[in-house]
Amino acid sequence: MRFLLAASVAASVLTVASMGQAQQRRTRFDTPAYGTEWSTTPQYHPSSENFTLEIRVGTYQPDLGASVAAFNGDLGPMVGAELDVHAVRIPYFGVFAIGGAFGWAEWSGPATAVGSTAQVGNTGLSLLLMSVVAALRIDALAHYVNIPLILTPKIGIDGGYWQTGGAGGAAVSGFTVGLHWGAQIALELDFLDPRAAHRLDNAWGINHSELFIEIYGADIGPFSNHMLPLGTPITWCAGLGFTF
Amino acid sequence: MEHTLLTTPPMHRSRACSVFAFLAALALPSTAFALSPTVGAFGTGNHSAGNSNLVMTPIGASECSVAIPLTFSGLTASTTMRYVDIWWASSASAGCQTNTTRSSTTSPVCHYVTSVAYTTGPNVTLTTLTASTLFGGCTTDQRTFYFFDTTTMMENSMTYTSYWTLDVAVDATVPSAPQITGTPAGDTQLQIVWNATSFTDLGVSGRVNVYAGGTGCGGSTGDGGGADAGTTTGTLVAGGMAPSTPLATLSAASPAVLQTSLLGWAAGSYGETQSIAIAVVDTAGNVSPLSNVVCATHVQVTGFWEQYCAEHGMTLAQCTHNYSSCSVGVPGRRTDLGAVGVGAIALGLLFARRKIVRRR
Repeated sequence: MRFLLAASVAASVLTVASMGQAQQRRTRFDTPAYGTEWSTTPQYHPSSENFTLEIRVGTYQPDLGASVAAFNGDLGPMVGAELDVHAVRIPYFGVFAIGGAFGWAEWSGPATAVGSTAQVGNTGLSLLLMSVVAALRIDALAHYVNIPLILTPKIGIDGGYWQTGGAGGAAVSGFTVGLHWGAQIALELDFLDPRAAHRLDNAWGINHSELFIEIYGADIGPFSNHMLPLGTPITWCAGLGFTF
Repeated sequence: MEHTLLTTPPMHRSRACSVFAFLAALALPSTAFALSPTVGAFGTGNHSAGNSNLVMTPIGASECSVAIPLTFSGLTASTTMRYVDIWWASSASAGCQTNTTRSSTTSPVCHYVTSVAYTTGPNVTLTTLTASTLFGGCTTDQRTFYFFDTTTMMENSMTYTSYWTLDVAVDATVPSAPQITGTPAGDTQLQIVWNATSFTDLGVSGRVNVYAGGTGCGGSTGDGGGADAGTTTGTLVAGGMAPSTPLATLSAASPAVLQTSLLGWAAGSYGETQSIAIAVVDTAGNVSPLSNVVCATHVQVTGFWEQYCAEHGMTLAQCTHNYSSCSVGVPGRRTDLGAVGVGAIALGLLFARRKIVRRR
């Protein structure tokens, strides 16, 4: 009887222990089994990718005709950010995303007295851009062919609030709306140190980080003769992107 | 010059006192001195360096003879004659509260200043002290003054556990005259370019005062005239004493931007002239001599907006009305194409969304 009792206790302990081990195996990362010389490599399970955030800076000179010469070739810069929401993943191709972006630029130059070249202060124009963007992130090369490049064509609508003024001149502000296009090529940085990229995902949920350059243009202000044409035929920006 | 925090010239006292009371309540723990309007009180708190060392903003040369009202609350309530003993040292860490430090005759660090008698405690305001009294003159210096409640003058045989300290600096150095570069011209603003970088003691509270002389300058005589600009015959004298009332007080940065409405210039009327000069005011309130006198001119200014409007064949008023916020216009030919494009994108987004919803 005692033997049976001892056997049943031992069996219970073993069962509980094996359940504990099984539970341990079910954790996200298998840990080395204590008491053995074997260990397992932690398995990486990427978190889901839902967003892309881009922080950017680049040149921007509005296509305002000859009067833009007042800014002496000032190229801004345009600084901004964009957040894209991954709407639909197209298998073995990429992601269709919709996002919002904003940018800010300011141009300044000398204000002069009429009929003179004497500078009496500065004249300036600032632009705050807000955009809605549709983007197709073609990441198949990076994910299936091991070429760490992502190509992203974009199209969107820009809304801008502008202000101009300066030394003694008129101070005017207004809104303007237009279309926007862009073509981006991004270098996914995971290949530099894949384990670091995985750690970044584990710790922060950032799946990929990218360096990108984007060629873009904007046709802002064509919808009304009362809107200031603050678009630019073509320009560029560069920055850092994070997919998370 | 308005002193902040602790002591003020009488004319600003009530306003500054309320500010001080508020700041003191924020800055000091409740167990420290019960601070009343100006310096502090002996009370029951023990002084320790740092928690009740009070600091005054620098005193300028013109304020050396202005009384510094110091109010003490918590002096000993006594009907017999008592004294507020005043000593000074070069720093707050000198330790003048100890008798050995005060009584040392070899290389003394604590110096006796004076004693002010009082008979009715506990709240006493000393109104006879000036920077000249405390410093024995009006030369640039910085001292920490110790205040002790005592029964005998020049007491140096006992160590105090309760006392006040007050850091005061006298800045008797008047800034040099600034120099305006060029002749300011503008429409609604004048940008006065001056040698701000040559001044090192303007700090954050330094200012530049702008003074206006006569109108119609620019000729060969008078204010801002040709070779004799700012001569003794003008209202403004280059290098002379600044008038008592400035036209405007601006931050001590170059260019100083003056609104021309202060000169009485009406919008749209150009060609008016006005002689102007500036003086800098340092952190202690010392006002420099006047700068050179220049002739400012009311001119029409052209900048980006004026050029853009002219390029598009519009007057400034028409152009501003046309492009400024909330104006609505009839779409042109180019507009129609753009509107179609925007509409197509909007429709596309709608269809895409519909598809996504259906898939779910």
